[in-house]
Amino acid sequence: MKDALLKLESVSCAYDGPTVVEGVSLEVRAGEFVAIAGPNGSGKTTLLRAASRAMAPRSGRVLLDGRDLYEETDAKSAARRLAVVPQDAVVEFDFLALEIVLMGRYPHLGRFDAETERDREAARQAMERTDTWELRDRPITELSGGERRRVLMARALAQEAQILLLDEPTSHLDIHFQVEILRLLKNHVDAGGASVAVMHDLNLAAAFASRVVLLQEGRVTGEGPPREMLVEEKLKSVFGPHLEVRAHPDGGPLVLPRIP
Amino acid sequence: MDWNGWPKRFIRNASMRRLGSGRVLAAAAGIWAAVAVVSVMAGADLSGVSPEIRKEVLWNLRLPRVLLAALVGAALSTAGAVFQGLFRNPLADPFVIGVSGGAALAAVLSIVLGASATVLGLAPVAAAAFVGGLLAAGVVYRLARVRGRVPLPTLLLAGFAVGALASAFLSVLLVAASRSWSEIVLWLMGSLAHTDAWSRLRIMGPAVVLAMGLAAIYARDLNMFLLGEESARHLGVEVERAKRMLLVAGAVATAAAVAVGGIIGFVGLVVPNLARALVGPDHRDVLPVSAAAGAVLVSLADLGARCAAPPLELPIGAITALAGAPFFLWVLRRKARS
Repeated sequence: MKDALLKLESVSCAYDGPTVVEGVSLEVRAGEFVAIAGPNGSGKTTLLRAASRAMAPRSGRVLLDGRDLYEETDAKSAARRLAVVPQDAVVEFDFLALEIVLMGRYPHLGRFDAETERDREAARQAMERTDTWELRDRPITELSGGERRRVLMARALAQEAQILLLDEPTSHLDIHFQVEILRLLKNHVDAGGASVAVMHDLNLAAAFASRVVLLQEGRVTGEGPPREMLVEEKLKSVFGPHLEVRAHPDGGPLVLPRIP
Repeated sequence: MDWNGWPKRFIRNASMRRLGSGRVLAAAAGIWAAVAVVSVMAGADLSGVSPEIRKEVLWNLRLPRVLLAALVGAALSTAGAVFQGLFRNPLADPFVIGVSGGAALAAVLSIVLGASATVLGLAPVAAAAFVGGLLAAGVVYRLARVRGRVPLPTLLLAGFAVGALASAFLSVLLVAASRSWSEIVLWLMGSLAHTDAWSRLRIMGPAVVLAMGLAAIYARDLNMFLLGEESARHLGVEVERAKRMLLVAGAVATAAAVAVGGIIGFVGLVVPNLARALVGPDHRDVLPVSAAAGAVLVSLADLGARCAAPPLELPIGAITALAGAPFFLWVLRRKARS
């Protein structure tokens, strides 16, 4: 079995009050697409923050390539291994989309280096893969939510990190781009990368993820292939009664809302 | 390779018109040189006076004064650009973290106590203002630090609070020291008329240059901050260290400017906005262009202060606000329309 790229060892997190994430252990290997699912407030985003060097856990450890992410990894080398796509970014100043994507090259540049042809090429490829090259000289402030989202995705790709962490990568996107972005992640994973994504759309998780982690009140209540996790009984215990699971025509599970 | 739309210097999108910073800097240098020449020439007629007095006036009063104006303008504008970037707010100015409050309090204290000893050739008021400004910034930083991190909103609020506290003490001092009112009020309004301008330049010049250099080193980090602190962290910025360095740069530049020129408002607010309108938001362009434009504008404003109503000198802070406010409104409205 391959070594874990990213490993959480009984991680607990809290802001000032009670713990939001409680004793979560998780391993992410190359070639894996892990979807984290759970109700609102179950600690998904906090878990992602802990895994992305944004919030040190109160107890437990996060290991990147076997080294402690907070104690033994500096910001730049972490950013070369691990790229994060946030839910959204509010940008007050009118940077062009291309300039935003080029910022993804920061961890590869020394303090006094200017961007080289190599950096511009990485930015261009990332933008072409997210279908944002056409937006390159538009100010980020003028883009729609979905366009901005794809630019942020391109920025993460420009980082050329093996591990991608995403907070609801499909929110703000129309159905075409939802599928496109997830396909992109799938390709990334198939090419030897790894992705961890917080996902609300369980059907997309079923279609793309190799593993689903169910989170409830900060604890992992189930972990396994989508087929085993996305079953009605399990989901109802996590999300409540307003859903039902049918068989998708393609064979997998199909989660539908049930209107009482 | 086909770099459609690359490099960004050639971007000519309908909504984005950016000038190269090189051209803007060259233009600013030219304009400043002209303003400097006029500033040295303008003023009382020197044709009838002895060569010694003429030399004294030109060499020890007017020339260092226009240099001082440039220094103060560059410092305030650099600090403004740094704080606007750091706080992601185009309405931030150099005085947001309490530097001006601390500087004013210390300066007035030194006036009230009648301090007379010079510090490294620097007038006691200037030295007190510099130290007071830095102290206030230090206190604000310390107050805002929680568990090794300094959240920017907390920093902003701590700055407001310390500023308010300083101005409360200042009011009490003012009432207690009615004898020194005119001196205090003149200092508070800002002025570049100093007989010891060269020694002010010698001390504060290097301080400002160092602060500008430090800001320049962290210009790229400042760009990252515009996407939010967490995003910057995710992209590999050592956020707390960058924040500390940028705050030091901004505080030193502001304290130096206030020490030599008193509290000159509006420059640090308007000039970075002007710079962004010209060259776009990248701080590697915004910082040098702000410094240059600030130098030009404060030099011009000081020329106006000297020459608008002779023999009276108008307070330079009034000139900068008088010219800056309408211009700022014009930029705002133009931006809102597009």
